[in-house]
Amino acid sequence: MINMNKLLRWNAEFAKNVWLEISTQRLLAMPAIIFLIILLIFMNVSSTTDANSTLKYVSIGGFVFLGMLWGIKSASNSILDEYNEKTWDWQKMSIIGAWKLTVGKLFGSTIYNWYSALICLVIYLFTCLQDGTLDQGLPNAALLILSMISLHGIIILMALQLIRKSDGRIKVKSNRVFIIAFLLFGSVSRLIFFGIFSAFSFTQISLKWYGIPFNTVIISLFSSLFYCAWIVAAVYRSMRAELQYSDKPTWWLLFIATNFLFQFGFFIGYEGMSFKISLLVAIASYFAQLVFITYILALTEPKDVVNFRTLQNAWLQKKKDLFLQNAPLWLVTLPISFLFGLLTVILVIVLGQKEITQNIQEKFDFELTSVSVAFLISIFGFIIRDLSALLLFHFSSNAKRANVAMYFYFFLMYFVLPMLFSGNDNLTAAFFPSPKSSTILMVAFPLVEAAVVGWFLMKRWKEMNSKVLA
Amino acid sequence: MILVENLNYEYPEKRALTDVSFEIEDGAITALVGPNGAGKTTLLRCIAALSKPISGNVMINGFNAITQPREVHAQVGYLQDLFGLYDDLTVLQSVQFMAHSRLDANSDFDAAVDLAIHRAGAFDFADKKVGTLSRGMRQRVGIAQAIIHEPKVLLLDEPASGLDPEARYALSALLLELQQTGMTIIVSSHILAELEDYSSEMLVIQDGRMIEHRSLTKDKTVSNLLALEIGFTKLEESHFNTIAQIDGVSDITFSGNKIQLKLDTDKLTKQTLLKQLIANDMPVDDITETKVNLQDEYIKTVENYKNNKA
Repeated sequence: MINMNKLLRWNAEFAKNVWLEISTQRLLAMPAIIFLIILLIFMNVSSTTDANSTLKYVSIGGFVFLGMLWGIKSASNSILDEYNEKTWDWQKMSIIGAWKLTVGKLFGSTIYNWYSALICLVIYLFTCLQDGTLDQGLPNAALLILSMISLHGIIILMALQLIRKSDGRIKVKSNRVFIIAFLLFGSVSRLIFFGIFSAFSFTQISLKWYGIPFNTVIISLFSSLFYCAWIVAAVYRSMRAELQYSDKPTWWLLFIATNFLFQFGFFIGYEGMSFKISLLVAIASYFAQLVFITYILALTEPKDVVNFRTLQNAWLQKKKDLFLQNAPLWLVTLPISFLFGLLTVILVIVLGQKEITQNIQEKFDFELTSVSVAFLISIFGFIIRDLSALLLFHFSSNAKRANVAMYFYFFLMYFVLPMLFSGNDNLTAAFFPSPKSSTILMVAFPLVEAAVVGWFLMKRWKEMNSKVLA
Repeated sequence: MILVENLNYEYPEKRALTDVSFEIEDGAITALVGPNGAGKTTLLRCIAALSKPISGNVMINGFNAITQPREVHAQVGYLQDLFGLYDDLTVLQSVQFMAHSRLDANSDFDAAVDLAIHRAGAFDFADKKVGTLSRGMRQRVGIAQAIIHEPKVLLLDEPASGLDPEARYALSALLLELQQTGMTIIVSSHILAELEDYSSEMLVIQDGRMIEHRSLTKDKTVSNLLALEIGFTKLEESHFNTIAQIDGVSDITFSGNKIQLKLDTDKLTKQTLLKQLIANDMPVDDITETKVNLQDEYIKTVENYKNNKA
């Protein structure tokens, strides 16, 4: 039996989850069910080879269902149940450090899912051993384990975001986490299964990273490990925030930097590109990613008015540390996006249209020549407009529906209205960055729109503050 | 010692605490009273370093709750109104988990668990699952969890709501026992009668503002007045008149063989008054400090606040 005293001393949160999740009945039930399924397979197939092949797919299915999908519920409940049942305060006041809490939540709350998933994985590896594909099976198993950790890590991050948004006065429903989790799983599952079922037909294909050729299996494992490590790090940082530590966004900046360096490695020497062209493509593509990340963060992070008041005070009192400790990540990412946009424009100007057309446009059908200072201003005009609109909705009396209003706004501004004016390039510049419109309109439209929405935002901000401080 | 200075806390739509300042000395049991929504829970959470105020300072035994929240967590035990327990764990498991969560690695965990369970009176049902317990029993488990690390400061948010008289009596006894160990305790409650049994101070909060902080034995707000009751073997009118003329005595009334009065401790102490009474050959058989009626004082304070506001 497990020595609970030792486990408690090692990690009290993990031990508590073992108490909550593990019982003799449960430990016996899972292998019994799996054994019955195996028996069923052997009773319904004609040959051992068929049984082995069926068992291989069923065991992976079992891993996905019992480990990953069921684990989504366990992982999200490890935060939301604590919060709703008011046990979260005990955790916040405990001396369990953020790392132990991360490990305790990530692996402790899902301990039964790990137990079930690992049984499936052992069966999978056994089938690989039987048909002589263990060399493929082992990296597959590693990929599945990394995917499971990453998925559960993301779920815990989402749950932590939700409780930060709710400020302790209302219960948090888990439906939203499940919906987003299943959508997320749906979108990445194709990649995972592509990796598992198809990658081995490409084992001879190699990808170059910083000019060094690597097997696709190695690359996919390394990529999974890289992002999995950052997801776990993100959970750790969120746990620190819950434990009331005041951190600057250092780790976020480190992620942005290492992620760029990681991606840049794939561009170097790709299809015979020169270093300068590789750099331009890497920076331009990262710029687009950062803009996307800024929007995603702005939509998902809490937009607590009180936090913005703290930010304003810190800014006015020139308290740099306090400002950085309270700055939302979208606000931190925004100037970095701008920096990457600016670097893209500079590189486009330095390299010249001819080189870009020859090396990028003709090869990859990737439009970069139209990138100019005016285009960059246009992009950031629209970003400022959209972020101002988002805050305007959140600072309204019905802030609960703010994100829904924002999705409607996006649909209207980026789909319906541009469709109405689709024939006129100059007018479409009023709705999104349009390189085909005149330079003046390309800059003027977004700046005027950003100014108008910004004015309304400032007006609401002042009204709101005067009400609270009255 | 708990020191709160100019504390301001905001929710998006309203300011929950405005310029709250007070100081609580070691070993006091403070009744935190006020209507629903006055800001009692928010104040307790700020003291426990669970919520960050927008401005102001909270110091717990020299640690700043805003800049040193983890140090403050080690000093404080906090029990919220719903107790926050794991229904699927047994009482023993719950307290064991809390011991390993709150005590450092070199502690004697078993001894700490044993002491906390005995102190809280949860020994008889230590093997039961928390989910099967009554509210009174759950409260004991919550208290055992909150005191497991023998905190210097114990914060209890509405601990007695929903408890039967026996459980309330047990709570009073427990709080007085914990006070004897040197713990500083703040208890928020609506039920003023129950607070009266053990509170030594009252802190009144209304609309997020602290409108009164006073001792319940010494009326500090009116020049250090100490409420006393003097018992006589046989009380005569001359005794009453003599005492009424002593400098430093005020608000003198009598009932039966007892005289109630207030003593200005700046001018006279309980001992010097007793000496004067004996010197005047008065048949005194008892002299005790009496507590101010919490209910009456609270109503008076709130009425004064409302009148001043109007």
